[in-house]
Amino acid sequence: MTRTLLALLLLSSCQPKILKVVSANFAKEYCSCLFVEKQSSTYCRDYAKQFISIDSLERTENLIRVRAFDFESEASFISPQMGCKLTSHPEG
Amino acid sequence: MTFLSCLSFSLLAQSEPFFTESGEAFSFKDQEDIAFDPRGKFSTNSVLIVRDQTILYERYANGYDKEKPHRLWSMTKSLSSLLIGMRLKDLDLTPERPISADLPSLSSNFKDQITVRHLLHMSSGLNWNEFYERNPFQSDVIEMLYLSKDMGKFVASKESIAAPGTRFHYSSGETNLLMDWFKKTFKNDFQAHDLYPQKRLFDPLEVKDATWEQDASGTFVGSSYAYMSPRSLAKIGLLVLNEGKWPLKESEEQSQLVDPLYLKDSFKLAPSVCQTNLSNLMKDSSYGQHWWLNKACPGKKKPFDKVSKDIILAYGHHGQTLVLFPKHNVVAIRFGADKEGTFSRYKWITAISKELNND
Repeated sequence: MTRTLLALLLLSSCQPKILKVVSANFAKEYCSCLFVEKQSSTYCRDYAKQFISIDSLERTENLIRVRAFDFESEASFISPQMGCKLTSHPEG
Repeated sequence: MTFLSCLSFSLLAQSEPFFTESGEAFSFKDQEDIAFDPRGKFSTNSVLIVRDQTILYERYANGYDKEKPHRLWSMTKSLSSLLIGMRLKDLDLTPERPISADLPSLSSNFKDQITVRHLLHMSSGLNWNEFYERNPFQSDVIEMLYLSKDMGKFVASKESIAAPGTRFHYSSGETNLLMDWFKKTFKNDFQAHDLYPQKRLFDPLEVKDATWEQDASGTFVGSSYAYMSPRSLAKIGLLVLNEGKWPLKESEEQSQLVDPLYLKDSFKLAPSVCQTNLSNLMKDSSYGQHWWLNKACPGKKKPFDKVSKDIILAYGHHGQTLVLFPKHNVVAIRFGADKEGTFSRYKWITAISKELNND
């Protein structure tokens, strides 16, 4: 546990970009899994998870909001042809 | 009476399935053991093998079925190649078109020399790191997909580390730069751009379950984000095997959806592949215009040494695989979520080839 925390502290100081990716990656891939592939929320949560876990996940009708490491991302389902798109996310 | 006849004819025409089940006994037992490992070591979601319009093998798992679209990941690149070929034909352009003619914002010092063909061959010379989960810290692809609002612009900002056409380097960035070029060819007609894949590729094939996502700037994410069911992807494979003509039956009025010469070029080994000193993992790579191949460079091995050199392939993240066997008119598809990278394409494709040759 301590080792993981130390690794994360090191990551956040040296590689802030990777921490920004976590919420964006989860939001986008979870959205596409749920609304485009029409898989279950349990399957999609497992599919979208990465090596670092997220803090929160909110789902409204067509929108997925994810928070991780103080960064928040949103992915929206646009249409069956256009699928999902990141509509708000940290920039690199 | 006439109205009822028309109605019943139209209902009959709509309900007639494109694919029919095979009455023959194709077990494909070897490939099944490889794809659906009974110990559950990797996650295969579906396998579909068709010959022409006949289903030889079909199996689904993990909540997927014949109706559900599945993500193609990098197999999307091969669909992008088809779109680029169609757009070049529309505009009466060749793949030798310099992309700077339509995309003036490139940073590269070779910007006036990079052509559509170089991008199709993954040979622009632009600097790029294509890593995913295994090394996310230096990954351009992850930054492009998740932190960039305009993927084409992100790639256009990259510097060159080789002259165009001299170095093969697999890059999702090159595809999205191509898709930015594709978008720019529509000038400001965003609607025509947005509807192009559906109208020009999916509708003629009666593919109704395809999704192709865009980035925040409205560029199709040609590197990674198309989705469709295995049966729909099989139709794309059959279109390619039929040299771009649809429908498949010559007795029906056919349209040439994709230029056959462009397709022929797509399946020639890119010269830069054989000129590049590739790392061990990639050393026997064989690549055309956004399609993987099984042709060997001089002095090197074919990637699939026991399989015909004529096969055509598309690969995607987590083991997505499409294989076209031109001699057999067979399309084989494997979808999965193989995060550990344990699924063996080599074993699976070799097993299918062996079983087809034993017919």
